[in-house]
Amino acid sequence: MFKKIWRKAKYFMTIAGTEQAEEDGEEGMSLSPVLGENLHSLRQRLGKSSDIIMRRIILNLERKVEAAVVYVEGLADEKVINDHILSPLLKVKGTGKKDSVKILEYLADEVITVGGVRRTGNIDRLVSLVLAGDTLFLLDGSARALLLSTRGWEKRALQEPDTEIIIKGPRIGFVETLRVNTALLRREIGHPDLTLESLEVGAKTKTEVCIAYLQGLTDQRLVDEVKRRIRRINTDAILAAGFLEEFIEDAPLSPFATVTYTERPDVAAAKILEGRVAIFTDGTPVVNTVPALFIESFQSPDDYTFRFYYSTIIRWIRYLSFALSILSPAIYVSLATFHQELLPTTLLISMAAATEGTPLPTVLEAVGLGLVFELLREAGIRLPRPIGQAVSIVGALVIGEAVVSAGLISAPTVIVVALTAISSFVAPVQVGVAALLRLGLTVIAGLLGAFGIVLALLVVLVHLASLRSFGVPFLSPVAPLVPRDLKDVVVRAPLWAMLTRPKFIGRDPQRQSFDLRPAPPGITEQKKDSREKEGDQG
Amino acid sequence: MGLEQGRISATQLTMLIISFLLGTTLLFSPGGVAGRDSWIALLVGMVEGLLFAFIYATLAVRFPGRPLIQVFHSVYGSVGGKVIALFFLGYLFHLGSLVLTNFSFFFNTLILIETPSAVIVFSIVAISVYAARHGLEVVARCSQVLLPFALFFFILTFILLIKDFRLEHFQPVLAISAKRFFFAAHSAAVFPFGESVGFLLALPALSDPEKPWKCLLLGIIISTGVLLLSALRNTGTLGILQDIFFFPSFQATRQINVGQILTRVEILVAVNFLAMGFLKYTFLLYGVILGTAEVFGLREYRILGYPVGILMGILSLLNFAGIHENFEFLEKVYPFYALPFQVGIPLFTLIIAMIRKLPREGGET
Amino acid sequence: MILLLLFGFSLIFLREVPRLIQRRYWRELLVFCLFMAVAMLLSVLLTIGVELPQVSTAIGDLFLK
Repeated sequence: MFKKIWRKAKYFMTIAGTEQAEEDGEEGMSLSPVLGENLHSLRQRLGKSSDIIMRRIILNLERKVEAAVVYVEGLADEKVINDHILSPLLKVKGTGKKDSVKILEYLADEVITVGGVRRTGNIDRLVSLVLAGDTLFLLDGSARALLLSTRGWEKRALQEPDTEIIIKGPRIGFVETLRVNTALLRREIGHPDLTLESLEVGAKTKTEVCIAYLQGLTDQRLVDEVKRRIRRINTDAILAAGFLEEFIEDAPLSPFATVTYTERPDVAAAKILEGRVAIFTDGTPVVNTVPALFIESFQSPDDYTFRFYYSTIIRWIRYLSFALSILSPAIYVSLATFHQELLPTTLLISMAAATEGTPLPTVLEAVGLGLVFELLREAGIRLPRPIGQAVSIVGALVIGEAVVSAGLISAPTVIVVALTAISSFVAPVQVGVAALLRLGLTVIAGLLGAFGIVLALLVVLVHLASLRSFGVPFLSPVAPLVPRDLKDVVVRAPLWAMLTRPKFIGRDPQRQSFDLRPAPPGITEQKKDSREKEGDQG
Repeated sequence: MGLEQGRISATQLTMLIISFLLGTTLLFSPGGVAGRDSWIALLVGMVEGLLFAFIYATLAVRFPGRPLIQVFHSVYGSVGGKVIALFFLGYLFHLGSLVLTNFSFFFNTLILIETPSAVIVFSIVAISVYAARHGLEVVARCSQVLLPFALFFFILTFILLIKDFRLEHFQPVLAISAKRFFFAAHSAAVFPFGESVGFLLALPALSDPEKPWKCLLLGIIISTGVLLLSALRNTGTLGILQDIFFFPSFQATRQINVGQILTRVEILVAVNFLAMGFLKYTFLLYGVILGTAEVFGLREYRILGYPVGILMGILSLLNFAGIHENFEFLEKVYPFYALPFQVGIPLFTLIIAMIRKLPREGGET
Repeated sequence: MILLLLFGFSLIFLREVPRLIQRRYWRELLVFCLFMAVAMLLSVLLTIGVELPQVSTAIGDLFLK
């Protein structure tokens, strides 16, 4: 039976292969020297769509020559087409050339005042670039055409991202246009080693995907692996970065994402500078970075701009609140159901008083109220913002208050769920996983108590320990332990003390020189000497 | 080339050894026969344990990177090697089932009194199988996450109990007969230090094959430090009373009372025991399935995870009729029972290898 | 109870056996089935309440004599 399934899978694979071969065969079609034929075949390709403009013009050169300009309304910048293509072309009086091909070259070199000019004779390439916003210039008698870069559609203005708000740092986020995003990255990293490579994914959407890395710093094998994984995607649509994530993950069935994302150029730049590869997907204001570590979910760009003592505390608060957000309902349920003897007596009495008269067992209360919270959260996100807030108020205050005073659910449960809700927002990257773990842990706490919680945590731990993201253990630098990388995990060391990049990512481990700790001018020399000696030893 | 493809660093192995040695000993005090002098017995036992570790490390360094079963083969020949290997694996198998029995007794006595012990045993077995199937690397990583937590909780309970220590609980020092004292020291050497004989199976996976010395010695010394603190804490707080409790560590932690607020934290001891014991059991399961797969000449060991795990679980239910038998076995039988496996087999293998001048040059296996 | 037990065992078989057959690991399959058969036999005996000997107590008796 399994052989049969295997054979079927093979069959489908061969079918997919032949389809691709046919497409390859068509790609060889090229332009003819006759303008009318070219326009006809273009019309066949592009269909009857009303947004495709084919403007025929006549150039008054030594003789009259027919020509045409093809572009997509809305994608191409019409002002550029009018001012820099059509008006210079119509003003040309003579070229001194007779052959159409030479005329085309002359026009490209001396008449048209657009920056990017490409020459091609391949119809498929023409069509896809026209659909991407370029303008096509065809000349009668030439089997090659000019592709003029006139991309200019309406874009969203750059603004601060809503999902990653920080206090001290750049207020700029990625937008939906790939080239704007790569430009933002270039502004962060000025070094010529920053390499951007483009790939096209999605048979129908033709989405441009761009990977960015620092040549020499990033492990070449990592870059090749990212490219290999992106190239093997053979699907019709990549509509957003999230689609790409699911196709290139290491552990596709895991609830934990092994690809991280960010909406901020400074964060993307920081990750690239540690030796990671960033993946831009056209059409999404989000950039993915690999390899991903679990610890990244707890790092925020603000950690590096505030004083490091405070940042260290904040980071521990994040770890703690993640633990709270997955554990607090479970611990509450296990205490209330199995281990009442562990509570201090006064607390036990007040809890018992609050729980008295409520109809449901504590597990159901916690799970049910947790679901209500998820429901409110989802409603708050999807609704328009003013209404969303109203929903939260009605949900949290009115229902929460009423449910307790009506004696349906005990007040401690509401308190615990509210605490969970607040703490779950502190590590926003892991919200989805946290909700899942919380539910599972609460249920198992209702069945087996604290014993069950510890067992479930062990399962999660084993799973996390077995994950890898592009070859890097997901739990590193904690497990496997890399003591020198704990400087950005257990504490946030001062920036001048962060001498090395993460060990498992990137090739060149040293980030900066040893003697960067600032000191007042008088004692600098003396101190510097002694520190240099230490540096030599280290 | 063995079946284990993964490689672990010396740090990982050391932490795994510490977790393993602390596995059940955080509850079952080693050298407890010596009563209030168990801390001295522990130190003497450590010396004996270091001698054991000396044998294991010498053996591992003599055959660098060679899986243990292959070593048995080359030393005793094909059939003899298999028989010795099966005896050795049988001991680890039995040891694993004893760990599970400890789990079920502890939880059935103190925390989950009504839950059937089969539920407790097989839920731990399921998780351990899941972990062991992922290989040594994952087990080692788990220990790197769990050990810091366990040590933190342990030190926390120690600090909270310092104010309850009574120095007179330690007096009179060494008022027991020498025979009883050395027997206690020996039982501390056999449980837990000699149990590190299981790591003979993991040493070939060490990324730096010259370091077994360092890992074993550091592992034993650090875990002795922890156990010493534990013994001092138990004697210091409970005094002579500790002999009447099954689980003195649990009872000692029960005494914690800081201003009527921070009380009843003995659940931390249970959590610690669960985490460390889980690692101990998982490592034993891993060792048994790896060794068994090598004995039978299989191409992968993962496949044996479920059957061997279930068999260990069943054996753990059949080990003892009750907790008293368990303690009697631990105190009276185990110090002798474990010797052939902990000392006999490794020492014998080492001596024969020396006489036959193995491993020979020229790739003889 | 027995049904639950058999259900659990069949889950394990379903999870492991196809992979072995696909890779043609016959030797592994044989050893696996052998161990599983023993495990199943013992667990069924335990479930229906057959008195099995206390293993470690027996070992202990052997030593104490």
